Amino acid sequence: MTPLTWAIALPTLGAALAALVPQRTPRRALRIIFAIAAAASAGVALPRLDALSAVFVAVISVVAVLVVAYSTSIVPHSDAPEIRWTSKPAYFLLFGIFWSSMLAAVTSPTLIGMWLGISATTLATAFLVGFSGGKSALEAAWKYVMLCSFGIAVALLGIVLLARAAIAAGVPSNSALAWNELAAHLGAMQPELVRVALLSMLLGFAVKAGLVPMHTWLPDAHSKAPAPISAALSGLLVTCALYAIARVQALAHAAHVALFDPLLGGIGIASLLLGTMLMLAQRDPKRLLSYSTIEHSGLVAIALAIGTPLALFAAVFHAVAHAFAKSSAFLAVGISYERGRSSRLELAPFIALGGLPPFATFASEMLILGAAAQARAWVALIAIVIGSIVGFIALARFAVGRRAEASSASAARTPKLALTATLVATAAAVLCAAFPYLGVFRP
Amino acid sequence: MVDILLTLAAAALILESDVRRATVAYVVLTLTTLRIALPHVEGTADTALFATIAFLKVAVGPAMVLTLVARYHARSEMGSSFGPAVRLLVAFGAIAAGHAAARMDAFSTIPHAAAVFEALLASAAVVILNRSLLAHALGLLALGSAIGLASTVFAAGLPLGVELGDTFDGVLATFVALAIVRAAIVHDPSLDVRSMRSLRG
Repeated sequence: MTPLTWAIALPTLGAALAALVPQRTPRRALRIIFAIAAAASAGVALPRLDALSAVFVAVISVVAVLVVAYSTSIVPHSDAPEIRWTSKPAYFLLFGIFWSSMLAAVTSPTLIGMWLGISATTLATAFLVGFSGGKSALEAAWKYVMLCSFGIAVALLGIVLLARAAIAAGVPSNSALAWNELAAHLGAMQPELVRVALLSMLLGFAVKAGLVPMHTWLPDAHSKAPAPISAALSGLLVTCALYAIARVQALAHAAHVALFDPLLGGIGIASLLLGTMLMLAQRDPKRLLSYSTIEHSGLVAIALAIGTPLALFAAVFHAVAHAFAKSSAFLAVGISYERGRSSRLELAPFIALGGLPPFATFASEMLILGAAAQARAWVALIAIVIGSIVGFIALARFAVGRRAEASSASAARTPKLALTATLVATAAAVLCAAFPYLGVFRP
Repeated sequence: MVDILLTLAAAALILESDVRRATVAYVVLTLTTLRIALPHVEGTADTALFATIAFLKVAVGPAMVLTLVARYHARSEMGSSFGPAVRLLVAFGAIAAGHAAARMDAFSTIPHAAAVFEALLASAAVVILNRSLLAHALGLLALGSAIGLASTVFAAGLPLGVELGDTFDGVLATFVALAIVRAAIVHDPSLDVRSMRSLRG
């Protein structure tokens, strides 16, 4: 087995093996050890991946380890213990499958492999969204599984159509869905079929990315899931869907599909503006953060749609910065829920999501603005400015309100591992500002 | 003949108001899609994969739906939001739209292309027109069959592993959906989607 295969298998295997250990303390330790081993295997595999996959594998591995550590410390509870899939071993096993699926999606050399990975994430996380077993959690899980299954089916239809175009252009059927074969033969494929196929894929993956108007499942699912799962859904799953869109966009650019970028830009602007407007109306922190995810997903979509090398770089940079900022925000809010009152830990992630320095989101948003100006994409530029201001106001207003009711109790009452995971995620949201200087990713 | 049978099954799926009879319509639709795919199956490995796909789609999926009705006493009504006249109109619309889509340049030379679009539209219609969560699960299963048919018709020659992956995904999605339905029966035995509108996106 290669390090990459280990990296993909270990999250699920580790969770399954740890569940067999009867004693609580060794079981918890094993869960963390397996998570770190999985992340280490992914680290060893990084040099063999292309730059885009390597960036996403690194982000998934770091955030997933933090989520496992946090969850062993503050274990989500179920209101309906009679439902079998709401047990603690099931929780960790489902999260392991979710983690493995995401890694498979972003490392697959084929379009269908990526699709299967993203599709598998829906199945694992549907149970996690409904983990509490309460009526509203089940409602959120139902919406999530139905909308995302239909969305992902539309993407699969697009993949089938692209395979037809590839086979008709002389690509052997066994390799008709390999990225390199598709890119090499796009020029010889039937343009109309390629256009329909790529647009279907865009719409399908846009559902998973929570882009407007296919976003309605996201605020419900992300707000009803246990806090660490919300962190993984908003920080990682949406990022994986954006990865899929970026990959499909590369094909669209190679095939000169003129409609792709305007459509992506349009739904990106709609997501940014609607997401921030709806943030103003929220009273629940997890719903506020969920709408903020729609906003940031829209921002990445706009950057992708601008399409210049600077914009593509900024899109990846912002996806990374948002993954850490949003994970830390949900983990901090989870600690507040656990303590029964708001915590000062929430402040830093809220500032990060508002796009203020020293957080990486500040640098990435500035880069996206710069890219829009450089490309003379004035509509996008104005939308980003308006969206960022409204989003900041919504977050600031909420944070001020929460701060007024924040407890003065020290953070020492919080389980140490959960606190550490939250602080590491927050620190990562600052430190990944160094991303442009690492030189690991160039469009 | 096969196309006519698929059209009738798709129309029955849209028109039917009982979950058990709609499940029969789904089985007929799926068997028809498998009949279209059968000539493309060659060799032992492909035959084994095809048999697995057929078993999952025709036996496991419907069994899960029917078990929920029989064992957990879920209501077997599809919970139609519209009367028979509207559903009939939608059924005709799906058939007409399927044929119109199949006449597009990209698909005009492909046999059974209209059947693919009819199956896709029928599966979407089942979800949109009905309020029962079981009807939605049936729509999800039918969508899996429609996509499977699309891969056979549009991309003949693709490895059957692709369709097997899709089938597993479809059946697993239905399994997940039905597990949620089973948990939701406690809160609302009618399984009406109207009782699931508290969050409002």
